[in-house]
Amino acid sequence: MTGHLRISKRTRVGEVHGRLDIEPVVVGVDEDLISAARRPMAQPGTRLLAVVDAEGRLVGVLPVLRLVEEIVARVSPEELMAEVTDLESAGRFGREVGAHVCRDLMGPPVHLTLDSTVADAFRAMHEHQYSGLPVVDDQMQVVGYVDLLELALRYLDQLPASSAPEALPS
Amino acid sequence: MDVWLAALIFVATYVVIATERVHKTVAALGGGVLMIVFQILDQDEAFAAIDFNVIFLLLGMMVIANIMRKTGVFQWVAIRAVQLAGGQPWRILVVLCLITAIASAFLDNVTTVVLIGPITLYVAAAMRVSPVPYLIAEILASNIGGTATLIGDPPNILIGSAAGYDFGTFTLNMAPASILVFAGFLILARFMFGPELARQRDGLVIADLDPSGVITDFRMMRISAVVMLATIIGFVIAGPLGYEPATVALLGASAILLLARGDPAEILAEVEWTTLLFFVGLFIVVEGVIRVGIIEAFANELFSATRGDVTLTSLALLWVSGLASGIVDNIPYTATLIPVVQQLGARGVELDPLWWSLALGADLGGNSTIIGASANVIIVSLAARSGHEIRFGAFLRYGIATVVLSLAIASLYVWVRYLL
Repeated sequence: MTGHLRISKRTRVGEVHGRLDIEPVVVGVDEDLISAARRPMAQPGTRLLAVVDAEGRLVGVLPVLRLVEEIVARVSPEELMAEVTDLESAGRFGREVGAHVCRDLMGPPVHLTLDSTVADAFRAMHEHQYSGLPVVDDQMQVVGYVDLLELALRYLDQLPASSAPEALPS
Repeated sequence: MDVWLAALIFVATYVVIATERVHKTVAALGGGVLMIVFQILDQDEAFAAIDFNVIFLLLGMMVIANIMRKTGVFQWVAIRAVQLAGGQPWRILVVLCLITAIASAFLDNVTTVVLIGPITLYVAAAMRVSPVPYLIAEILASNIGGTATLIGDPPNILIGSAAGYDFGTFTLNMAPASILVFAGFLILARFMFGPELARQRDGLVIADLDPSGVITDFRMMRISAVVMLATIIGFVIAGPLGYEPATVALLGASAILLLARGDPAEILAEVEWTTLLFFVGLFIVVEGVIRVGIIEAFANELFSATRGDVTLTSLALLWVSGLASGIVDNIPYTATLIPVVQQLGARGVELDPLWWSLALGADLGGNSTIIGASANVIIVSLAARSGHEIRFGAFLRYGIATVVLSLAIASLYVWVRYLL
């Protein structure tokens, strides 16, 4: 899929994202969580949903894992309740069972721009502990998605075998 | 010179605690150390002022509760109780308040919140309503329930230890007052929360919740329940046998540590050492002002103002303590008032009504503001962490109404039981 494009750490995300297999999954900020949870079923590779407002601007991100936890909390809240042993976990449980729409669970709109570099992408994902990030244009419209694992594997695939370990991002 | 210096350290410590400019434990320890550095007390006197019965009683109960709450037994109790309440919002609120009050009589506030918080938030989420009315009601119930026993609220531990009351005596005198105030609170709550609850739909079904699903360790659950029960029985029989409550709490803690087979370092790391050291600092600071005669002078003034009349002194102590506890931390307040009461006793004022008035005022007064007691702060923090804000002003109207009613009932109780 990368064609003849050689990926370096300075390569622009705008040149890369269209050549990756995993597509962005976009959900509405006031969309019900059950409805939102059905969307990644069609895109199993996506591990982070892009949450957009009525104008289609990115307003947050929602890891699929958090969505799964919320759905589990509805089906079997005992499992999450059993983990409550202190104030912090009690508060987390409260947030999870009290969430109804994407707005209730989403995090800040961490993103990459078309001008971000591959190095920026690795750094941002490492910093925010996400396995992928949406790519936005100047209007904050979601135009792509970069998956950390997919990008890292593509990056490593093009390196000579002997240099692969050293090429891993720190 | 010593008098002014001690007064300055005392006032500065309390101002820093009240303003929360630095952590209250640091403020109390700092004040205590300054009392030694400026030679108001020597080190031996300072250390002798620490009431280790209070420290080890708290430590023992923290260890037992910390192990117990990880087993899921508290959530099990809460789920079963709410299921028994059926799907009616008012009955759910009453049940949640009742569990909170009973738990507060025997457990620390964090454990009570872990017990009651998750089920409250779950019920509110299932009904798609705000949990705030339920959480506010639980704060109020917690402080009322904590009044009932020697271990229910830190001021009680301080008073019980200073006055030499055992667990049974304390409970026999305070629990009836606590039950009466709780009954009054439920009637008031009907007016305060009833209209909002009436708008919530009936028929919440939480029968699908499997209480056994929250039990994480059946063996430890059984062990910790037996140890907790044995410890409470131990508190009751320890007094007549001549043992202090701290001995019973440490016995319970040692037993559960032995049976838990866990890493003691891990379990002890979860003890609230900041709370224990806060008490240590306060004991030293208060001893400093006692030593230079400030407390004695204050007691003299109080004695003159009330002419030694026990009725007037008791009721004044109850109401002043009740109103002050909403503004200042009721732990340092009680630590300061204890030597004042002892001084009044030395002048011939009957002590029992004064002790119960101080305890009732300090405990019940904590309900007036969201900073009035640690239960308030913890539940407000839980609400914030789960995405719901309890505003100072919003809480105040419920708090003031509850405190005025509580103090009125407590005054009547003290008057009828001890002063008639």
